[in-house]
Amino acid sequence: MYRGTKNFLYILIAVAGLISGKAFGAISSALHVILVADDVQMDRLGGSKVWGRACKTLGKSLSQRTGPWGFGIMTSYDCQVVKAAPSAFKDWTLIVTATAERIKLELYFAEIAKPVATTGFKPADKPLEIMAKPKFTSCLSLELLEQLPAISRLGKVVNKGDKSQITIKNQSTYENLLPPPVELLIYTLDYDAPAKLWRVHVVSSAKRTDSPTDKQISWMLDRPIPNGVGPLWFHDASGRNMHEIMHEEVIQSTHDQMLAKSLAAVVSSSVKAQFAGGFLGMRYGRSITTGQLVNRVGQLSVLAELRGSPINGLRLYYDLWPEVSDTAQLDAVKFGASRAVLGWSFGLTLGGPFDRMDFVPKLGRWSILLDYNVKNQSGLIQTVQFKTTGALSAGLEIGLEKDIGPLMLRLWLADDVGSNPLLRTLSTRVDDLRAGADLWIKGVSVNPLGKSTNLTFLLFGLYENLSLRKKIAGDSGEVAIDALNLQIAIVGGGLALTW
Amino acid sequence: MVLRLLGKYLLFLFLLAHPTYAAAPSGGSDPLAQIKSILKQKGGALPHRVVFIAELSAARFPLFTELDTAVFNKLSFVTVIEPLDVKASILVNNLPWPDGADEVRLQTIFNLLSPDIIVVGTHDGKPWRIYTLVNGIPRVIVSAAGPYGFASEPRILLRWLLHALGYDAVVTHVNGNVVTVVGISGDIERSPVGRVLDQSAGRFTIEADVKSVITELKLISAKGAVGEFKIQGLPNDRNPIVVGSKVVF
Repeated sequence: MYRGTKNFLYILIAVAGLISGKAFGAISSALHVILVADDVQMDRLGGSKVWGRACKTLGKSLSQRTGPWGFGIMTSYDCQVVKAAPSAFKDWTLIVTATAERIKLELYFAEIAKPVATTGFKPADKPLEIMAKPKFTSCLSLELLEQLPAISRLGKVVNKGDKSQITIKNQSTYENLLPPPVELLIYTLDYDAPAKLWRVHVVSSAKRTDSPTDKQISWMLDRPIPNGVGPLWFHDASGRNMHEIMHEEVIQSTHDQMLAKSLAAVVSSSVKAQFAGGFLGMRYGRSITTGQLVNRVGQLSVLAELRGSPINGLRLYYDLWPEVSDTAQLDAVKFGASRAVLGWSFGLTLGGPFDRMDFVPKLGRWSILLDYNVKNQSGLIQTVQFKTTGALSAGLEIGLEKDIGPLMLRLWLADDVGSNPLLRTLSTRVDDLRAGADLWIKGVSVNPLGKSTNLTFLLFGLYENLSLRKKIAGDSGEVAIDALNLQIAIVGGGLALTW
Repeated sequence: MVLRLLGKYLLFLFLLAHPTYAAAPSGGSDPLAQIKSILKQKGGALPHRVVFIAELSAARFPLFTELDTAVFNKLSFVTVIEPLDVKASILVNNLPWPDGADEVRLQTIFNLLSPDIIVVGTHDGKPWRIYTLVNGIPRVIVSAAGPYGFASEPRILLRWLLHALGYDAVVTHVNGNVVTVVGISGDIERSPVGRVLDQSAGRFTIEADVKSVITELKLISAKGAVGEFKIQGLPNDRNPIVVGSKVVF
C-alpha cells in the first residue's frame, strides 16, 4: 500500500512537472522569432527567402555558443511571419516590426508583458538582407543579450587543479563588436511571476584572462561551482544594459558600413560584369620625359582582351611609336618602333587589397629604328643606329587588379626580350622592362549590335626602360657591342568598348 | 513493479528537465542545515536570513558589513545573505538603487531577497538598527549600540544580534521533558542552565521588561551549536514549550 502511494506520488510530481514545464520557475530556452509583415511589406523588406536567412542568423546569434563572443541563452528557435503582432507570448519571443524609419526588435519573456530587451536600426532598402549577415546581427543580439537577466547560459566549467575556468570558443572576430565583459557573475536564475522579480543566487564570479581577440576567451572563477547546481547563467558583473548608447552607435555604424560595402560590391560586380566578356580599346600617350628625342615620343596602342569563353585569357596588343626626329650635334636623331604581341592571361582571384592577379606570357614581333648620337670610348660623338625588323620577342607580364566602385585599377610589370634570330650578328636586341598603372572608368552603355556594351574611358601611365644592344665589327675586325638605354615615361588616355 | 519503474522513469525525466529543482538544498547530513530547515518551517519569528549593511546610502549598491559569511553561517541557525546575492539581484532585476529615504532602499532588499531582518550597522557612533517587515513596510524593531569589539568577527556579530533580539537560543525539538536547543556554537556548552521564555515563539524581539520565564533547563549534552536540555519543571501538567520558543542563558 505504502509503495503504491509512493509510486503514485512519483508519477504525479513527474507528470505535473513535465506538462507544466514551468515548475519551480525554470527559465525556458526556446525562442520564437516572429516577423510582423503583410505581403507588400515582406517584398519591401527583402522577401520570404531572405527572411528565412535573417531569422536563422538571429536565432543563432541569440543561442548559447553561437552568439556574439559565444554568448547566448537560447537552445532552440523557430521562425514565423504574421500579419499582426501577437498579444500573448510563450517562452522567449522576438518580435521584428518594420516601418520606413526603423526596424524594431523586441524580445519578450512569456510572463512579462513588456519587452525585456529592445534594439533596432534605421533601415535602408531591403533591410532583411543585412539582418541575414552575422556580422551585423551579432551587434543587434549583443545589445539584446546585455539587456536580459543573463547574457548567457553557462556551459562547461573546466577544473585545472584548484582553479576553475570557463572557456568559450570565440565566434566573433567582428571588429565592431563591443568587447566581452571583464568580470562575470555566475548564478542560478528563476522568475518569480507573482513578485515580478528575477530570483538570483550567485555561485561564483569570474575574471577574464584572455584578450578578446583571441580564438577563445577564458574567465577564471574565484571559487569552484558546487556540484549539482544548475542550470547556471552569467552576466557582466557591472550589470544589465551597461553599453546602451554605445550599442546604438555600433549597430547603426556597422549597418551603414556594411551597406556601403554591399553597394560598392553591387557596383563592383557591375564593373566586373562590365569586363566579363572582354574589351577592345585604343589609347594614346605622350612622353613626359625630358631629354633629347625622348621628349618627343608618343605611343598609340590598340588593345584587345577576351575574358569570356571559349578563348578566355587571349590578349592582343599593338603598340606603335610613330617615328620622331630631333636635331643633334652630328646629324638628325630619330626613333620609331612598333610591336605586336599575343598573350594569354592566367588569372587568380585574391582576397585583401587586390581582387585579381594575372600572369600573362607573351610572344610578339618587334620592329625598331633608333639613330642616336653617343660618345664612344675615345670620347668622340658618333651616330649609332639600332635597327631591327620583325624581331621575335618573348615576355611575361604580371598584373594586379582592384575594383573600386565604378573604376578598375590595374597595376602591371612586364619584361619583353626580342631579337631577330636570322640576323644574329647584326641585328639589335631589345630588352623592354616596363611598369605602369591603368585606370578603367565605366562610361555609358551603348547597344551597337543589340548586345549590351559599355563605353569605357582609359587613363594610363607607364615607365619604360628600353635597352638596345647590337654587335658590330670593330676597326681591327673584332666584335664590339654598342648598347643604349632609353628611359621614357608616358601618360595618356583612351577609349574602350567592353562587353 | 511496472508502475514503480514508470514512476521513477518519469521522475528521472522531470529531474533532468529541471536541474534547479534537482539541486535544491536538502540539508543532507549536516545537522545544522537540518535544524535550519526545521526552524524555517516551524520556528516562528526568527532571523533565519539576515542582511548586514554598513552603509545604506552608498551609490548603486549598499555597502555591506565585512564578514566571513561561511564561518558565520556555521555558528548558529542564522544565515547571512551573501552580499553578492544582493548586488546581483539588484543588477539582474535592473533596479536603480533608489535615492531618498532609507525605507525605500530597505524595501528593495526585502522585495528582492526576502530576508527576515536587515541590520543596518553604521560606523559613525549612531545606534545600530534592526529592521523587519511589518505589514509589508520596513520597521525598526531594535535600535541599540553596535557590538563591542571587532564587528567583522562573526561570533561577536552573532552574539550581538541575538542579544539585541533578546534571547540566546531557540528550541528546535521537544521530546517529553527533554528539549533540543540551538544557539551559538561553543556558547551552548558553556551554558549549564537555560530559561525558556513564555509566548516567545511568535515574537521577533523579546524586550527585557516582558521576559516571562516558563521553566528552567539543565544542560545534558552539547555539540557545536546544538544542546540537549532537561526541563526542570512545568506549570500544571501542560508543556507550553514549542519549536521556536526562545531561551536565555
